[in-house]
Amino acid sequence: MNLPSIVELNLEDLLKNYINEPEVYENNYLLGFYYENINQTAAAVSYYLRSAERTDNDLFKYECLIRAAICFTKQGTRNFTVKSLLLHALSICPKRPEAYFLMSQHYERSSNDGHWNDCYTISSIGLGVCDDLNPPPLNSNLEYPGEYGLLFQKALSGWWCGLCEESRNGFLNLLDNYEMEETYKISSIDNLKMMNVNINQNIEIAPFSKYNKSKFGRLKYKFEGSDKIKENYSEAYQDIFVLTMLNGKKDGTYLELGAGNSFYGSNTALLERDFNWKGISFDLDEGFVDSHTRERKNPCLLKDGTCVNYDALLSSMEFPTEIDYLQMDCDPPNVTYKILLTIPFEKYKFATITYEHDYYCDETKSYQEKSKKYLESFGYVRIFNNVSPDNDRPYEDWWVHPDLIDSKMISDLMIINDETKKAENIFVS
Amino acid sequence: MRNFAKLALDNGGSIHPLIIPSDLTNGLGLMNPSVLIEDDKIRVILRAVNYTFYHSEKKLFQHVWGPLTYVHPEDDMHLRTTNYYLEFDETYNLKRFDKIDTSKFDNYEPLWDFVGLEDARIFRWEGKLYTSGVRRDLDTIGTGRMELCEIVIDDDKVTEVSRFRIPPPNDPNSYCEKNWMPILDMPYHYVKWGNPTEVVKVDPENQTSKTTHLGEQIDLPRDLRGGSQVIPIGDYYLACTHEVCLFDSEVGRKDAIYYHRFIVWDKSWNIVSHSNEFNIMDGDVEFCIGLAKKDNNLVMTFGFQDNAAYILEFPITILTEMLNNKVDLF
Repeated sequence: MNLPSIVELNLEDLLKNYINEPEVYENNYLLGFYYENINQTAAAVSYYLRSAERTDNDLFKYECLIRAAICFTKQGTRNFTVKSLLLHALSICPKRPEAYFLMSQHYERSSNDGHWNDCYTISSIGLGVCDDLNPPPLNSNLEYPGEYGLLFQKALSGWWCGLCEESRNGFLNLLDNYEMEETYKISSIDNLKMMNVNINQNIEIAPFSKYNKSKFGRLKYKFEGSDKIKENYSEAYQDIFVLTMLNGKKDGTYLELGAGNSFYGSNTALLERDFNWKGISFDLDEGFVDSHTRERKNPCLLKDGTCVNYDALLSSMEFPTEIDYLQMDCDPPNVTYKILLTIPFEKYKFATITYEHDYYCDETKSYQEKSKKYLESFGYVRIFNNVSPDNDRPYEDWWVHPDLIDSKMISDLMIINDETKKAENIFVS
Repeated sequence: MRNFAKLALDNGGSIHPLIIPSDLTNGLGLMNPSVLIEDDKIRVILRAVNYTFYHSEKKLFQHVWGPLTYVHPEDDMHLRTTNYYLEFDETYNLKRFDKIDTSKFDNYEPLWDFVGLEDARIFRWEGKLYTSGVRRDLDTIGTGRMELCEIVIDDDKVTEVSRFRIPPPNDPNSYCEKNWMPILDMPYHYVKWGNPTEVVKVDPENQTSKTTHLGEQIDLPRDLRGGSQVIPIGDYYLACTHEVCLFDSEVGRKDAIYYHRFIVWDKSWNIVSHSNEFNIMDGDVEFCIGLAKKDNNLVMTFGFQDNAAYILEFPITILTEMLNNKVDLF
């Protein structure tokens, strides 16, 4: 079956084809595919199931069942159903890798006891039994990146199963021997750093598009002190954004939720080191918190950001009610959003906010819009949307409060459209 | 007949999907629409639910909970319904959609699994626009009662302004009253049950209802349950009713097939003609709760597998061919 582009499809025509021959599996599949592409996943499920039950082609059954599982994953909190469909798919084609990979991701996201063991087991089985770990693709993208996807899942889950050496070696093997998508590369490196592995500096990853002194001449919006910056640390110019909006403010304040590494990729390291900002950070990762404690002046607390009383915390630390920067990056996007709802916006105003919604990998595609509505309800203005560290990972929106940022600056800089915006291109010509 | 829609299209009919943006519903089920045509406006009530209906029709890929199950969020066992008002022009271009604001009356904590007004038919009685469906969330055992709800359409919102929970006419302890079919040209009258035909008059002012007609049973294989509104047509009344074949799979799990049937009554509420049972679009679970006349055509709205919703327009002539006794519907 040659799957047409979604733009070539018309729903009423697909319905007519279906009505003409409702038992033909392709007619059911194309309706499911159309509905899925417009995010009507419930309708898509009905047609995918019908399609799977009306074909003799096992590969097609397999694909329909996986597509239905992906639809339920997009809906969220339907884990039994996702698992049930993936198991059906596995029972049809037990030597194809896609369902093992998705099942291991399913277990990774689960919070059940033993889910890391399940994740490890299913990825190991997949690696062991599949005839071809890089098989020819099916009609649609089943979100399987190739053999390295299963290896990544095994390395990741192995760590949490206590197989630390195997996990380290797994990530090193991936970095040494596989051409991976950028997100996998970065995640592999981050995991190795968390494991205190000195990774081979020769590994070629697309580095952060970092700012350094050599780019000063091309810096579009110069601010006080920008001429003295040797380099920044953020993954996608978040620190430069904050300093631009506040004209290189000294002695500013920040609240950082999801701090990450102390310097590598940090959005607050430059603010603290070169501009003497004070602030507090949170992270769930013990390794990150340890590195902050060792290497940074401002505190970073090992806490679940969803369980913090921010009002009490900020009051107790005598933060001003006008804070210069709120950084939110607490993966996955539903967690970041959950935390957003607990920030006491009615009491505290933030001059700038970088909010990570991870639209590019948000299966629900909903958290960007939810966070937008929520922040707008408190008067915040979105100044850049779909910000990406590269050309294809729109993961953050950046916000300012119009009471605290010059209105001309807002109107001059604002870029809101459907395009993905590589952060460096916003600031460097 | 497994595929009434094909007959409709083969005879010049048309089909149109009913969709509202997925960010309103998280892409979950849009189902069981009802339709009312007034002048150049096609008004639709569209039911949106928080679940996805999973039906393994051929039993090959059953859910862990059986061939037929409602997949609700795992952290919310309720099956929640909200209703949207949609308006189309004559050629089915969507002109507006609004979630019906029911906040004036939804000021209580629902007590049962099914929450909200289900399968709301739309109609106008004495100049007022109404929706009427079943609500089951007012006690802990799911007692179902029909509710008659007036809605007001403003430029920027649609609001429920009155709600009458209709007491059953005869048995105050009946468990679930649902799918009463409003009679479009008889204000405050419903066909409560198809066979034998029972007509009920309701009185919102005095909060009562009473049976005004109880007909003779005719020979049909299953109960005739309510479906669309009852519309006047020619010298007759017409509705699309539904029948449910409930059964257990071989391992004792619930399953079902729905059928539909056109019923024609004379003005004295005798069933004078009916079609054979049929499925609308080859689905095992479909449900029609909307029927309207549009020139020499009929417009039927129906839900498909509880997950999708459609409008089907077809010539009245094909209906006359389907009826067991010929009647003049023009």
